[in-house]
Amino acid sequence: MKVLTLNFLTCAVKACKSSPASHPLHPKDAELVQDELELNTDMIVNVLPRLDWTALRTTSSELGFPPLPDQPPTAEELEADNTKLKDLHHLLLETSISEGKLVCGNCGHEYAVKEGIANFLLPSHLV
Amino acid sequence: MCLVTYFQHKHCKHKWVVISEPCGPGMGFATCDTFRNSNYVKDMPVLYTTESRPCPRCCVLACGGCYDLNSTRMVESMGWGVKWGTGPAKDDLGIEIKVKDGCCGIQFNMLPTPDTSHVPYERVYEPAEDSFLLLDTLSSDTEKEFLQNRFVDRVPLVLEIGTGSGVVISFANAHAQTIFGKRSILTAGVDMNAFASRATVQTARKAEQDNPTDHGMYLGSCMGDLTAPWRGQEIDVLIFNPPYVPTSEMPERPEDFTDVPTPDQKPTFDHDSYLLALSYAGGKDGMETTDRLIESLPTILSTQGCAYILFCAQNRPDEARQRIEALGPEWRALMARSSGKTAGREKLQVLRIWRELDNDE
Repeated sequence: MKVLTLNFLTCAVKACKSSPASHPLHPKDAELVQDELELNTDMIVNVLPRLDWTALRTTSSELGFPPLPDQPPTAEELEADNTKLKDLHHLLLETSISEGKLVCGNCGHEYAVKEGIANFLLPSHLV
Repeated sequence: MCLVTYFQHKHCKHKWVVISEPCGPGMGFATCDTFRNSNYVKDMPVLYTTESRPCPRCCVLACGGCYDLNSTRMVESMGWGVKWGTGPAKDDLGIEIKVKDGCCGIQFNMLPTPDTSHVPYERVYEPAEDSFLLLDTLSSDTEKEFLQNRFVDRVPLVLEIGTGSGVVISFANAHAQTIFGKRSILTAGVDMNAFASRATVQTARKAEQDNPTDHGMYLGSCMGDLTAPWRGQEIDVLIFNPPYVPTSEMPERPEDFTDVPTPDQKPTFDHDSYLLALSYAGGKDGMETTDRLIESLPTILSTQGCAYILFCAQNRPDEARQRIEALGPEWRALMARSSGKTAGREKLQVLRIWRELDNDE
């Protein structure tokens, strides 16, 4: 699963949904894989407005990427600065989590990731 | 243009197509230009089951002779795209024309279906009429227009629940340029079945490779119950081919079942049966799972979000529409596509569900 996905995911436990601590999920012992993909400028520029930037900053630093700025770059900044664009493209779309765990910051439940597929099925006592 | 009707015999299951309304005297498959134009695209056909009409193929096989090829043709395969049959004798070119590379005959849709040849169908739902109806819905002119207008200013997140083989989400992703009018879309899948999730990853990848200049961005698949792990208000297009068959009870999980089997754990027959039951068994009216999803729509869909959900006649889709419209004054549900009438009712239909926005016409 691509790193960008983490921005849209949260803990599957109902009671955690309302807690801000359940987002983003925290990668643990994560193995990353990189795929080289063609850069789609339009995608990066237009996906940023819908992202939770603070959550992305957390994810990025937890995965060991260089720190992201406090504020998301504007479309003009990105179009003028190819490096910024490529860095975001690399983090969001070229990088995937293949193995490891995703941990909820609220209840501490760990969701296993195997072969790039996270398992959000809950054991019966948590449903 | 000649109009055609498709039949399937109740017993032998052979399918054939006849000219039901010729466009002029003597017009038919051999003479009408409609059937020669390889760019001719037609809606997914409705298939009528018949017992009283004799199957042309069985008649020829039993009694010899041949049938009128200008008015009747056998259909060799149906689903996504139709090709003309080869007739009683395969090497007898004089009897029927076999379509090769779509050079002669009708092509029912120009968008190719994703390759799912790697999917283990003993434990993953095989693409069937319902899956193809969803492909047909998404690539229809009305839905393309709706989706393109809806997401002009947004990179839409398209999520399919219960992907099975992955044929539907991979299709939506691979043909992003055609369906959404742009490649800036995100797609993802959820399934409870580990094998289905793995298969979907492969199907989506292959379909991206096969459509290098048109595809969107497939984020990946995860395992989960409906949309449980997805944040509220994020999903823009939700696609669901639910377990819709009415059953006396919901599938029971075998005691020794593990959600994610390791490669050395060989699935047993019971495990495979459970996984397949998850894909079709819908409990009361076939609606137990679909109803749970409908209830969650207001929290999971984004403001401009929409859902495509498949229903069969036994699901009482008209009542489901009323429940959806009761979610609030802005909620709408419309039959976007249907197939196969039985007793005057659509056998299968896809509802498009959405909120009417203030700036909508």
